[in-house]
Amino acid sequence: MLEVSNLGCNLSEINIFQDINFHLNSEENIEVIGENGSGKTTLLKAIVGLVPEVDGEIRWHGELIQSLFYPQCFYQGHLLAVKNNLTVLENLRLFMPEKRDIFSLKQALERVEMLDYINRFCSDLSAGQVRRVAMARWILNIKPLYIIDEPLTALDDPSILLFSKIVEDLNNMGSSFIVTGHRPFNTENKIINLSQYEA
Amino acid sequence: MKHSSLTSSFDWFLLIIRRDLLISSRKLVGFITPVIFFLTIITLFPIAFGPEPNQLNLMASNIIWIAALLSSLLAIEGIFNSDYRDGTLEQILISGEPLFLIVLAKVFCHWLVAGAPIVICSLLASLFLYFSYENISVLLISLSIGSLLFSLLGALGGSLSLGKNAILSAIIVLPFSIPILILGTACVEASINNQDYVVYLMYLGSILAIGIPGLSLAIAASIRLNYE
Repeated sequence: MLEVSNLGCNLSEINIFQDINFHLNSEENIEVIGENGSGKTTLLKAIVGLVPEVDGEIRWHGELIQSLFYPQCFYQGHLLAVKNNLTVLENLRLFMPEKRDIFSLKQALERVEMLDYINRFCSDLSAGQVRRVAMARWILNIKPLYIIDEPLTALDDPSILLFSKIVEDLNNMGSSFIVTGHRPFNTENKIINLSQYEA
Repeated sequence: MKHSSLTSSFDWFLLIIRRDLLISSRKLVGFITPVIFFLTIITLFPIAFGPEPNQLNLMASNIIWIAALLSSLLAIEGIFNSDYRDGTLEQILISGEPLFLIVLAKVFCHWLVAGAPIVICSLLASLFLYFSYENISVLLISLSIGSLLFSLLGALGGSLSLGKNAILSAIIVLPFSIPILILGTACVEASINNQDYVVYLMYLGSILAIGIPGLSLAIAASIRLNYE
């Protein structure tokens, strides 16, 4: 589905990484690990086209593309794009233009165990709960590929379990994940260790 | 490969307007601050120059225009910075939709929240400054066009100083506002002196007509630059 070859990136003339090759089939996951500053976030941003000066090739279903776009992938960066002065429900409803009925919104919130907080402002939620709201968006916007930066940040053990289940469910529906982290969370996933790619 | 159709772009346009207006309605401070700032500047002039009706009357339109310009600077920071800080701007960028359209939606909301109330408050300000009633409609029309242009320029300043100090954007914006200030005050003065003011309105209108596409493309380019 996704093929990346010889990907390299320079930011302000500093080489972040180079010659990264991997391919990803549907229902497969890739975990990008590495030390702080090894370029995990930059790698994800390079794939979705948020950083300039990217060398190499990105192929989507065999077709050469510059970068992935929203219709093909769901990108979630360090910043979650959750608005503090909107409620949980409004944050789901006003995230993407697609119309959602209240039933599917509630279903997604129930899935992430946040239904009780539906009318609470996101400024009143804890960091982990805000992460769960962001996860509800994955369920509402089913995409072939999810690119998620540090999904485990601020999650407690039950939330990590919930995360793994959601990933598994979405995998079963044919979606793939590229995530970053400091240590692998599932041994079946492909692993890219960026510390080995340092220039 | 970009997948964007006209309808989906328009959906995004509406989404941004709905979201921004909802957020503004929750943050009344952002709504009230420019208005209070505007009225405060207006009241400074009678205090400094003395409450002489004839003298104030002469300068009323100029005072109102300067106050409108200064209070428009106040709200610049809010246009893009909160979206930049919480990652919304990233999501907009990778949506693959034409960025200038989203910029237009944001500027329009910003004007509704920070520009239009000032235009309405200029009615009150004209009372404070003994501004003649016959010319009030010219003041309102010119100020409406002017405040739209101030919002556009403010958005340019905001996009050039994303994540940085708001003062910087004010410094960028102020010199570009001078032609609008000149034309706006000249327009109202012409109306007071029973001269042809329509020509000034046309100048202002043509600047707006060029400014809407031109500046929104420039703003979109400068937002992209911030991510590069």
